[in-house]
Amino acid sequence: MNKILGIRNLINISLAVMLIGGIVFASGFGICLYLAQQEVSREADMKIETNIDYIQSYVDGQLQRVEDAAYTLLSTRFGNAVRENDSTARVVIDYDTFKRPSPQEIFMMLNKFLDVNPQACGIAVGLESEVYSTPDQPNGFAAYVTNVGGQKEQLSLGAIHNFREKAWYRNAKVAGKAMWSNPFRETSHGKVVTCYSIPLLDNNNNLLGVLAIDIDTEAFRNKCNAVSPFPNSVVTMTDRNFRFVAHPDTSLLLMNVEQVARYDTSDFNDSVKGMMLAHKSGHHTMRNSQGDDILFYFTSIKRSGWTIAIECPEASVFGNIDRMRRDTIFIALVSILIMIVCFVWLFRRLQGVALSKAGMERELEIASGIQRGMLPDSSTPFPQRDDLDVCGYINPAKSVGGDLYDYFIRDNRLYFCIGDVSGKGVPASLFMAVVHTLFRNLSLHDDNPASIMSSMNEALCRGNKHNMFCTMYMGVLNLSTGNLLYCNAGHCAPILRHGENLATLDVSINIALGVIEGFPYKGQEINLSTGDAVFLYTDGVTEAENETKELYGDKQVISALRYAFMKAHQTASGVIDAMVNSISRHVGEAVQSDDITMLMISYSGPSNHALRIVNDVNEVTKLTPWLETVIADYKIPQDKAFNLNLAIEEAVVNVISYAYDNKEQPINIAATREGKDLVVTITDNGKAFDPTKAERPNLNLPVEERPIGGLGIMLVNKIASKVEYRRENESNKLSLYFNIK
Amino acid sequence: MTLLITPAGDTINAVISGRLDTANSQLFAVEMQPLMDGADKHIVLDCSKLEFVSSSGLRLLLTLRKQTIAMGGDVTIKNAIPEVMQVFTITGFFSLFKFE
Repeated sequence: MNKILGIRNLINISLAVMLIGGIVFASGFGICLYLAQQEVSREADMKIETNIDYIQSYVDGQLQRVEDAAYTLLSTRFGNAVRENDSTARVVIDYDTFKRPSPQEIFMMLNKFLDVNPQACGIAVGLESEVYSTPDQPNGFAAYVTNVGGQKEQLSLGAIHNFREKAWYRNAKVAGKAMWSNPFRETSHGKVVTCYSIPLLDNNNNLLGVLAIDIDTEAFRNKCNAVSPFPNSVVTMTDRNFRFVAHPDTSLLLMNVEQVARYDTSDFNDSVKGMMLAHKSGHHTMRNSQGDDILFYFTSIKRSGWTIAIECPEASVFGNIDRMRRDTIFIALVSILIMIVCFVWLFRRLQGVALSKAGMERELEIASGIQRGMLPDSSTPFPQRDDLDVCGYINPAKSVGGDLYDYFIRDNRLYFCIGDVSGKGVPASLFMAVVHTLFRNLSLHDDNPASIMSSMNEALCRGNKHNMFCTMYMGVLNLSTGNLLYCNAGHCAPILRHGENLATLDVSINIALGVIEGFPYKGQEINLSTGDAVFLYTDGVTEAENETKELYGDKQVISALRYAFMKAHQTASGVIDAMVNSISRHVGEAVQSDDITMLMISYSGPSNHALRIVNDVNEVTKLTPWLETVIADYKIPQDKAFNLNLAIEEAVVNVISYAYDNKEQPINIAATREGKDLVVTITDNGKAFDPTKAERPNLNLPVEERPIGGLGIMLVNKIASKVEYRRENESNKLSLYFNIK
Repeated sequence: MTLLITPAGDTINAVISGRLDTANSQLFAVEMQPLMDGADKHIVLDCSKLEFVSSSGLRLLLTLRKQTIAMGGDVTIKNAIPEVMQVFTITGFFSLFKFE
């Protein structure tokens, strides 16, 4: 379940990462977009303004050239013409020096002017009758020459109509200064022209005449049309009355801006018109009739009072940005989609893995349960026995482990083993199960550890393709005698507790099980006394690591074990608990690296070799069968049996006869083996009596004088190799030592 | 423990079987009463089937021997197994009986 939760966490983390990534991406994208927009906007400003300036300077230049040419003409041909200033230009002619050229000369001058100034499509000069008159034009002289595509035509206007009523003449006369007219369509040739009219004045400001020059606005329009800073941008030019002088659509020429109604008129009037009239430059964003935002840049030509404007749809200015935004959003969406698809796929996969893993873990748990079930239950090992206390402990590093221990009793013998299979986890546990089964089965028919080990080795070597092996220590403890036969196959030597001493058991060097077929396993033997204990363990104990990779170590095993015994953990489980605590204190928070297994066997004497009787002679009959088991268990040669029987009986009879005054008093007899000796200790709570100090009968007396008693003690002293008497705690302890080898 | 007594003129033949230990000594004391009564004769104890003897048994044998001395008989022990013989030796009884 933890793994599934882990995956949930993974999903949450992934979603969070996606979300945070998305936010960061969106913010970054937004900032980039904003900066790009700023940059594009700045560049658009520059680009449009450059274009406008270009047109403005062109148109202004053309107009100025015409003006300059006009003044040059006037000052060279008509006398002292003075151009007072640029904006309020007028020409003052000294009446006295006025040259009065002939009409032919005037026409020639005008023709010449048109030749030199091709931008002018017409030129006219009108003179008041007081100044100049000819017979055909008595009411004032006016000469007019046009040049339309190189086709010149000259007219004597004074003969045709009253030119003084015409706009070109009257406007200059009224204004009293030179001025550019609003463009108009010239009726004589149909071109849209603008007319520069210069009043000719005398020193008293009396009007002498007017010079007027027509300029075809087509060149301006061509210039405007040639400029296109952005796709769909429109360059227009309007006159002082907001009529189009230039427009890509020529049908709109001379129509009022408001008539065209491209924009919200009120916005145009409020925001732009005033600035235009004040000859200011600027820009403004307006909504057109289609609802699109239009950037409206404008600047004025002061000379003529016209306005040049460039209209750019915002979309075309920011088209790249918009496209970028669109593309980026599209890519982001596609990426997110791909991410989601990948994520779902991954999740499904992980879920599958998690489910199969969960299933496998359940199976491993079951396997682990089976494995634990195969081990003996250490909680109450042998409740019916008071001579044996056993406790096993196993803690696999993974769900299932390669360590094992086992013990069982057959024929009053404790068969036990501890083993460690190479490797960890499932393979080790399978091999371990085989080893365990072999141990159990072989131990049913054999009581020699060396031959059991050999048989196990043969079985394990066969078909051991994966070269697995198992170190093992096994023993067969004869519970009747304390005789321990054991065999060690490459396992770490157990620790033997004898009295207060702790020492590693002497073990022969045998190779681990499953390595060499036919290896001759060598067994060993030791006799355990009452209170002896054997502590077996796997290298998981000594090699238990703490966070700083320090090993628990052999020395710590010994010292912890000594402490465990000292703290009066008399029970095997108490010692094991103390060891487990000691190891876990050492390991701390470190991860367990290997299986940890321990087995503790406490032997408290051969219970069969203790006999309790009361002080009744008939109880002596119990001695013989008891002694027979002692003799059998200790494998005492039969020729010693008679003397043992005799000495023990004599000693016991002595106690029965003399120790107590009352009946039904207890006498305890116990036999143990110490090295080559059998030690029989007879304990009673009766009167103090030391048989070793008893008077010896004189064997040389004749029959008549021989005492009846005293023979028993004598026999005891004669047969036993040593007799020890102790008076302890109000009881007599008589120990008889017999050499039984 | 069994004691089979067969009188034969001046001689009483007795066969002791089994264990002559403390537990059996009271029974033996009762059973050997015919021997005590015939202590003026030559008592021959066949010990070939005597498996064990303790000091209690020895005491009874000593009692019997003392009786024969008092009544003029004697006790011969024959065919005792080595272990039993050893007990007689250790206890110095070897000199008190005739052995065959």
